[in-house]
Amino acid sequence: MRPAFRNAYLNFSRCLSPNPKFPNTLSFLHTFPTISTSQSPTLISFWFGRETFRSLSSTLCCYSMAGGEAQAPHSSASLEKQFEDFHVQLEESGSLRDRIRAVVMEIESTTRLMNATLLLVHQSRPTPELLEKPKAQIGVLKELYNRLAVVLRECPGQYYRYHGDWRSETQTVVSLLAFMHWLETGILLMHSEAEDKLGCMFLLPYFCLFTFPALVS
Amino acid sequence: MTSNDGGEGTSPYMSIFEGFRNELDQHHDRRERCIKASRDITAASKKIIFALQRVRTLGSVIPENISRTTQPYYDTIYSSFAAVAPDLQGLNAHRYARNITGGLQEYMEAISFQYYLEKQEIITREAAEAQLNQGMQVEARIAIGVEDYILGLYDMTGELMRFAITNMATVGGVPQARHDGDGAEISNTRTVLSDLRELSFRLETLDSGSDFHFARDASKKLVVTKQSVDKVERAVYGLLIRGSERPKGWMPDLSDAPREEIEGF
Repeated sequence: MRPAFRNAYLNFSRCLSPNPKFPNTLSFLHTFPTISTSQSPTLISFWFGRETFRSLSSTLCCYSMAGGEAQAPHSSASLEKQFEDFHVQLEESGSLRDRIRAVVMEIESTTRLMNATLLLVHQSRPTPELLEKPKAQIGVLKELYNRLAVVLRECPGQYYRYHGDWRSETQTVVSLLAFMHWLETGILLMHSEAEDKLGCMFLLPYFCLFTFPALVS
Repeated sequence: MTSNDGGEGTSPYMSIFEGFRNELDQHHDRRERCIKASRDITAASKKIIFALQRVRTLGSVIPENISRTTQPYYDTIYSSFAAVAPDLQGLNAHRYARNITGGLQEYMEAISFQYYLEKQEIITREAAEAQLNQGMQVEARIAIGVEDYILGLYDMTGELMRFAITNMATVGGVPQARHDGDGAEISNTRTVLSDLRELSFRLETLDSGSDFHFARDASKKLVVTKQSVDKVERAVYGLLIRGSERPKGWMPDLSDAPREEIEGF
């Protein structure tokens, strides 16, 4: 649900409910018409016409908990508190993810620039001149990865939780770096050399597992 | 992308790639262990839930004959978890989270269902985690993440629905706890239906954030949960409203077929 709508819905249901702890009276109230309209209209008149209405309604009120002080309120309160904690945690996680994605999008646009220049290699242009522009971009990438590291420092020990958000862009970066390195020197770029170029101290050995396969393509 | 400077360049690369191979093999072995454990745990949890559906009371300890059936399944579950606990330490906890999440969710479903049957309350995430780690009895701890906890609760609503409806069909009356932990009578206005509604409300208002997998699973499960609540509501309405004009012991038709017209009154 969209956050604004959800908050409005929450507040709406809270005001309508006589007891804020049990907002499900609202759902009780608005499911009832659905059932009665799907049945024959005689059901409504039956429900209101019978003498047993009073006893029925008291049982139904009991089920809708319109006046619930007798039950154990602590379980509902602890449930509410727990879900509020979850809400907070999920929101924090969501905002962290948004920040990561913002940095990653900039990384991606930088790699696109580099790639555009490097593609000319296939058209047999002289290599050294072509490499100048992309090399300048490496500095930009280094700064972007630094920003990514700062963002990720907020969630220590959860490297893999948000890994999926920046993994494929990083693979592209490494493959471009390796290609450029090969154009210059004819040698395979080493894992540690790649890390140095990007200035990343937070990258782990497992990083290489996912990036080097990208080179073959 | 192979190096093209003759044979000398290949040997340093060989050792590097052998290193990669070892790391990848270990990674895949760990992943396989987590997947197998998840399957075993899922199967055992489902059997526990089937056994628990035979309970006919709410708010008291599970009867002896049923707990005797469930105990071996719990043992299987805890030994499976204990076997993969070392693989889920530190950074690997999230790395293999998607592989173990099925087992964790089913386990959450089973223990939250049992906890509800015994106490008519929803188990907290901390209590569930404590129970898991206590059962495992190993040094390594497994965490139950918020997502696994929530998704397990969604599944538990389906079990609550089945429990409520079978109880209404066999015992009659909407299940609610009549005794507290010490066996004393309590006046209780909460029933399975009211608890289901509240839980469904709380789950519905949870914003699943931008985690794609969790959001997708949660939205699918929410639809099923709301249907479960709807089924129990219809059954209760049928029992109360239409049961009063029928002889004692009559049960409403709980199928989804179109309802018959009500005769005169």
